[in-house]
Amino acid sequence: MKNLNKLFSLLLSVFFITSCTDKESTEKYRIYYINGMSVDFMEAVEDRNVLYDALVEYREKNPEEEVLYSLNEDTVRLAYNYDEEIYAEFFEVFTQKNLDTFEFFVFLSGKMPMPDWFKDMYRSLVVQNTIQFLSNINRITDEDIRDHIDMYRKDLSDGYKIVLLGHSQGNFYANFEYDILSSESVGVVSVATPADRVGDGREHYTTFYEDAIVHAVRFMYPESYVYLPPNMHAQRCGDIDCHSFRSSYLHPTNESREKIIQDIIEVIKELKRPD
Amino acid sequence: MKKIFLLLLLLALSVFSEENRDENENGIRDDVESYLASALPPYNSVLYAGYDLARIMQKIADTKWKDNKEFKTLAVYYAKIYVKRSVCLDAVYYKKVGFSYENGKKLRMVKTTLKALTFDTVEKTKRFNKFNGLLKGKVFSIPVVTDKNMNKIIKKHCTEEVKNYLKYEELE
Repeated sequence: MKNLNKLFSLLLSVFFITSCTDKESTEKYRIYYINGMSVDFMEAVEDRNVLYDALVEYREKNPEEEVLYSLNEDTVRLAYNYDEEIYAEFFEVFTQKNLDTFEFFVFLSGKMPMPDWFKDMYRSLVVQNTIQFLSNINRITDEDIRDHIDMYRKDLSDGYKIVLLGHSQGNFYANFEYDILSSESVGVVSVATPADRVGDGREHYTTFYEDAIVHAVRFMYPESYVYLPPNMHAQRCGDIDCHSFRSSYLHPTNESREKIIQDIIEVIKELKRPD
Repeated sequence: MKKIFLLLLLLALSVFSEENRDENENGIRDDVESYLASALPPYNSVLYAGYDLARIMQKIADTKWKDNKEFKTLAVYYAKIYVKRSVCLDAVYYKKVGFSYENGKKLRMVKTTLKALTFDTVEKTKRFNKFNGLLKGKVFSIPVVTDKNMNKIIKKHCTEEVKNYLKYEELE
């Protein structure tokens, strides 16, 4: 009898494992993380890693969420963008202070408190740059997005649903790229967005009331512009502007971490499987 | 945490006068080598994974990047090596100290300091800016370290030297 019970449990586990594997293969999707303004490549890689960690953590806490069964190490990719000119301008002002370049990197990373002048300069450049995006969508060139679009199209033809997750300025790219693809198998999730819309119209976005960068953009841009209002409070700001993807929006103590993952899951569920 | 960081910063700056010297000619500047030895857990496998990461960052800092197709290809190639070295360090590090948010934070701090030490002049920071600019518009598939795939990652992305140190440490 004991052996029969053991056999039954074994069969049950085999059935369970098989059914999980089946679930893994039913949902094919890719998430493309599109970074914010002048985030260097190394930081963007870390941001993307933390996003993946947050997805895994959510799956462990919510085993009933079948969508995440098919999450694997190539699910979340980095669609990189970078503004060399704005970084150069920022660095130019910094060098005029005759400080060590070591400090430039540690201030930027938030590992050491930024002096007020650095903070002001940083904010002003980010805000100016974002306003340029708002007023001139032609700032995004074909070259900036050609490889992104090629990769998304390849994924679509391979049967993947696609989620474009934009952070800050990355949302302009996400929306622009969504418009080009114009597919029911592509969705957008926005984080800390200064844009006037979420590209796919589903309104899955997270912006803190405390986000100083997004607030500054709103304050400086003409009143006629329609914004996506903030929709969440930060329990903890991990950077001075409460704007950083990794340190603030994905901080483990912030509810936004879970909301961003839920937004991604909802979008995946709503998307049509590519033909 | 901030105090520890300041201490490490001072330590790094104390050897700063030795900048660009590589006494043992292993491709890593002496100041960077001292910093990694003080900041990483005391295992040769982790330290050598850190050295490998430092070497590729040094190559990025030493390259006089130009805005043309050849340099774009080179930048993507270096970025992919950076990813391999970075993910190897992650795997070896977590294998030794375990996964936790705090450990992840410590490792990110080491990488940031390594970056700040490597691009330590105006010229090198400008080159770093150019390098990032050349990667604009590219898509990267980046391996992720989990407790299940650590050994696979090490096998695929670490150098023989790191793998050998790991083997010795496991025998001890």
